[in-house]
Amino acid sequence: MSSTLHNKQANDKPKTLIGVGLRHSHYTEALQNAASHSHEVDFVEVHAENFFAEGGASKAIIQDIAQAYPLSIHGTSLGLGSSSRVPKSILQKFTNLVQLTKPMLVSEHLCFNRARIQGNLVHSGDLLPIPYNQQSLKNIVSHIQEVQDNIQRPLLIENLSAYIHAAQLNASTQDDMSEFEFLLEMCSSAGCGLLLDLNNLIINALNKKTNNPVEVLKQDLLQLPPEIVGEIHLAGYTDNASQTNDFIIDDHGAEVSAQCWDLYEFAIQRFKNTPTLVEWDTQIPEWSVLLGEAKKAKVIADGSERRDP
Amino acid sequence: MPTQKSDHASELNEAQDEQSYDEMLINAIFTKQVQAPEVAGQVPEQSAETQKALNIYHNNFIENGIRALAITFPSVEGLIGADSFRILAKHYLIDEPKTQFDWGEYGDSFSEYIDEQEALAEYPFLSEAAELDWFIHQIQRKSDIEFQADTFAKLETEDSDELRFVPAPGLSLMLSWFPVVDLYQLVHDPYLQSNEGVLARQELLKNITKSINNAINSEPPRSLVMWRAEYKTQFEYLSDAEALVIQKILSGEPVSQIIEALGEHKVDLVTWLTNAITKKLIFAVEHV
Repeated sequence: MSSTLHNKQANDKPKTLIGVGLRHSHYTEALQNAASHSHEVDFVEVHAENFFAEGGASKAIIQDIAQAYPLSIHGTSLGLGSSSRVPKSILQKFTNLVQLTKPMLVSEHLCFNRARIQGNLVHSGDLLPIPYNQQSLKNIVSHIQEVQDNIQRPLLIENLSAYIHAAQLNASTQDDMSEFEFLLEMCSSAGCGLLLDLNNLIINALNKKTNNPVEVLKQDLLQLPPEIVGEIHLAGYTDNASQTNDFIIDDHGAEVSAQCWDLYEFAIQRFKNTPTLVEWDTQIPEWSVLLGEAKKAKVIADGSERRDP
Repeated sequence: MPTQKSDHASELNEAQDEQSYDEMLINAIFTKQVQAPEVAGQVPEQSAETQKALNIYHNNFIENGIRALAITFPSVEGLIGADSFRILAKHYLIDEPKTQFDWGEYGDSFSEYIDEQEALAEYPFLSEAAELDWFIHQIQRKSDIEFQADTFAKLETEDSDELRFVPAPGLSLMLSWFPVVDLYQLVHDPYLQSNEGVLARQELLKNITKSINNAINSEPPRSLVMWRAEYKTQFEYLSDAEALVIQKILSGEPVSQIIEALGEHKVDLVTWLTNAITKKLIFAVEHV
C-alpha cells in the first residue's frame, strides 16, 4: 500500500525554503561555504543518477553534501510513464540513495524514457512526454506507487516541457484530458505531490505560440489546489528560437527568465511557503551568480509572506 | 482509384498501428536519419512541426551521449581531439543503442567498436586507451571495502590453506600491447600540457612512438593491474609472475597457492606482500 502525501511528514512544507540545483562544478565551493557556516541557500537539489555508483568518491561526496545541506533528490532516469516497470536493480539504487541521504524532498518526472526496439529495451536518457489518457494514467500511477512503496515516502512528480504530443506520431493515441487534469488525477490516485516547474509551463506556452502566456498560466494555476504542490522549480532558457521560429529548448542554460519571475510571484502567493529551487544545468555560471538567483527568489517569497493577511 | 501516394500513406499507417507511440518516438531518437511518419489527417505544417520535435529529441540524445562518453573516455577524447571524438561518439550512439539507465554504465563495447573502425587505423592504440578509460571509470564506481590491516596478522598464526586475500575494490588485469600508461600521462598530466613541460612532452612522445612501433612489430603484451586504493583508480605494469599472482587472488585461491606461485617464479614473498599491502592491492585476509 502506498503512503500518501498527506499522511507523511517527510514532504510537509516548511517556510519558504530557497535552494539551488547543485552540480559537479560547484561541489567544492558549496561544501566550503557550509563548512564555514556561511550557508547562503536553504537546501540543494542533486540528480539521483550522479550518485548511483556503489562506492568511491561520488558516494563520499553525497554523504558530505547531505550532512552540509538539507537535500532534495531529483530522479531523472526512472521514466515512470514507460510501459515497462522500473527494473529492480535501478529502483534499489534509487532507494539506497534515499535511505543513505534522508532527503527533505524526493522527486521524479512526468515522462517515459524507454521502449523496446527489435526486442531490446532501449533507454533514451531523456524526459519524453506521455499521452494524457486513462491508460497512461493507470500506468504511471502504478509505477509511482511502486517507487513510493520502496522508498517509504511520497514522491513529487514534475510537469514536463515537451515538443511533441503522442497523436503527432500515432493518430490512435489521443489525449482525453488536459495536462493539469492528468496531474490532479495522478496525484490523487498515487498519493504523490506535484513539483511545479514554472519554466516548463512557460516554454510549452511559448512553443505553442500562446498569447500572453504568463497571464494564461496564472489562470491555469488556479486549477491546482495549494496542498498538492510540494516544490517549485525556476529556470531560464537560451532564447535562440525567437528569430528562427524554432522551438525554444528547455536547456536551463540562462538566468531565470523575466516571465518565470512574474509567474513565480503569482505562484508563491497561491502555493504559500513551497520550497523553491533555481535550476541551471548548461553553461553553468559561477556559484555566486547562482546564489544571486536564489536571493531574488527569496526576496519574492519574503514579499509574498509579508503580504499575507 | 487510389493514388500511389495514398497507398504509401496507408502502408505507413498500418505500420504505425503495429508500433505504439512510445516505440515510435524511441525508434526515431535512435535512428540515423530521423524522419517524421506520415500520420493520417496531418497537414504539411503539422508534419514539419513533428519533424522539428523529433530532431530536438534526437539531438538531445546525441549531445547527452557525447557528453557522457567524453566523461567516461577522457583519454580517447584527448588523443583524437574533441571534434573527431564527437563524430566517433555520434556513430557509436546510433550503432550501439543505449540499454543502460545510467549514462555512467554505457560504453562497455566502445573499445571493440573503435577497433573495428577503419577510419581510425592511424590510431592503432586507441582501442586499448578506451579499454583503460573504461576500467578506470568502472573501478571508481565499485563498492567501498574497509582496509583491515590487523587481519594480515592471521598469516603468521593460521593455516594458509584456509585463508585468502581480499582484493582491492575493482582489482583487475588487462593485457596491453601499446604504451597506454604513457598515453594516459600524455593526455592527463598537467605538467606535460604546460610551457615548462614542453621538453618532457617531446621526450615522452618519442618513447610512445617507439613503443607503438614495437607493438606493431608484434612485441608481446604487458600486464597492467588496476585497482582503487582510495577514491582514484591506480594502475601500473606488472611482471608476468606478479600478474599470475593477481589472477590467483581474483580467483579467490587460498594464500598457500599464492605463496607457491611466488616461489615458483622466485619472487620474494615478504617483498611482494609488503608492496601489495602498502599499495593497497589487497585489503584484508579472510577465511576461505
